[in-house]
Amino acid sequence: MKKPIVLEQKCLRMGLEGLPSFFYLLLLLVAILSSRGQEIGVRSFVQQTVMGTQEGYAVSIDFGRIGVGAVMQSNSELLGESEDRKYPFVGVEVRFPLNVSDKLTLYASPKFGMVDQQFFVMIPEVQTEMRLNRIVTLVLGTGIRARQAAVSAGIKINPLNFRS
Amino acid sequence: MTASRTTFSNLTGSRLFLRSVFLFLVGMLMSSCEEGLIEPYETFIIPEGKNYSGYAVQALQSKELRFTAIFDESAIYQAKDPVNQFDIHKLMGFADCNDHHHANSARFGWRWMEDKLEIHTYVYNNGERYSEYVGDVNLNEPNEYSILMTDDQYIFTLNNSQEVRMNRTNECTNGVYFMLFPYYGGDERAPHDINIQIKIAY
Repeated sequence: MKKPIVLEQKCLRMGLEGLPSFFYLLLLLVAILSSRGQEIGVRSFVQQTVMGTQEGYAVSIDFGRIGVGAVMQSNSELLGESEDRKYPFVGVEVRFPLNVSDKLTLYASPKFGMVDQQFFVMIPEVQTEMRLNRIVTLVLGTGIRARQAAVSAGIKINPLNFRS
Repeated sequence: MTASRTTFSNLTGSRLFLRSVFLFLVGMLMSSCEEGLIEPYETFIIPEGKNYSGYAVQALQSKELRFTAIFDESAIYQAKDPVNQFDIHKLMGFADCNDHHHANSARFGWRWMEDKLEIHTYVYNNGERYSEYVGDVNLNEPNEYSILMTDDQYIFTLNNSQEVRMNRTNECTNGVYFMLFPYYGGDERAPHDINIQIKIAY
C-alpha cells in the first residue's frame, strides 16, 4: 500500500508530477497490446507552439488500418522560453489514417489531455509518418495550439513489431 | 534520365500527393523558426448592431490569463439610453472550471464614461454578478491585463500596478476553462464597429 505513495512523493520532489498517471496509462496500453496490438512505438518529438518550444515523448500502438493510439507527455522544461510556465501536457493521441502508402502515411491525430494537471485541452493536428526502415520512422506534424499554428518533428522507434 | 522519368511516372497519384504534403510540412517546420509565424496582435471587431466579436473556441491552459489590449477611438460611444452608459462591456476572461460563464467566470470589462475608458472586473460567482473599478486606460496604448486564479480568489491586475481581488467559491479543479472574448453589452448593441487589439501572453 505504501509503495505508490512513496513513488508519488519522489516524483513530486523531482518536479515530475505527471509521471504516475502517465505510467498508469502506459500499463493500460501494454495490456491492450498483449491481446490485440500489432506494433508498439516510442516517439520523441519537439513542437514549436505559441507557448514556446515543447519537447515530449509518446508511446503508441499501431492497429494498422484502424489507427494508432498513444499516450504522451510534453512540456517546456528544457526548451521553453518562459521560466514560470512549462505547460506540462499529459494525454492521449488518437490517430486515424487519411492516406496510406508503403512508406508515407497521413494521419488526423487529435490529442486530448490535461495541461498542468488541471486544464483540459484538445489539440487538433495532422501528422505525416515517413517510414525510413522497419524500426525507424520520421514524424512531422502541424496543428493548432491555443488558436495558433504549431509544428512538430519527431522520430519514432518501433522496438516491438508484432506484425507478421 | 529515362529511368528517373519512368520512376516519376510510376508514382501513383496518392503517393505524389503524400510526398507533396510531406514537403509542405517540412516547409512549415522550417518556417516555424521565423518570428513572423505568430501574429503579434489579434484584432477583434464587434460589428455595428452586434454584441459578439465572432465565435472563437479556446480553453485556458494556465492559472493566469495574461494579455495586452489596445483600444482605439472606436471605443468612444454614446448609449441610446443614458442609463446604459453605465453598462460594462466585456473584454476578455474565462469561464471557470466546467461552468457556464453566467455561473462562474472572471473577465475584465470596460466602458466609456466621462471621456475616459474605465476598466472594471466582471465576475460571476455562483450565479451572482460582481464588478469593481480597476482603473483608466488611454486609447491607442497597449495595457497589460492579468487574471490570476487562486483557490478562493480571482486577482485582477492592470499594468502590474492596480490590483483588485474578487471572491471565487468554485470548488471544481479539473476540467475545461473556456476563454471568453470581447462582447458589447449590456442592454444595447454596438453603435458602430468597435476594434480591440489583443495579444495573449504565454
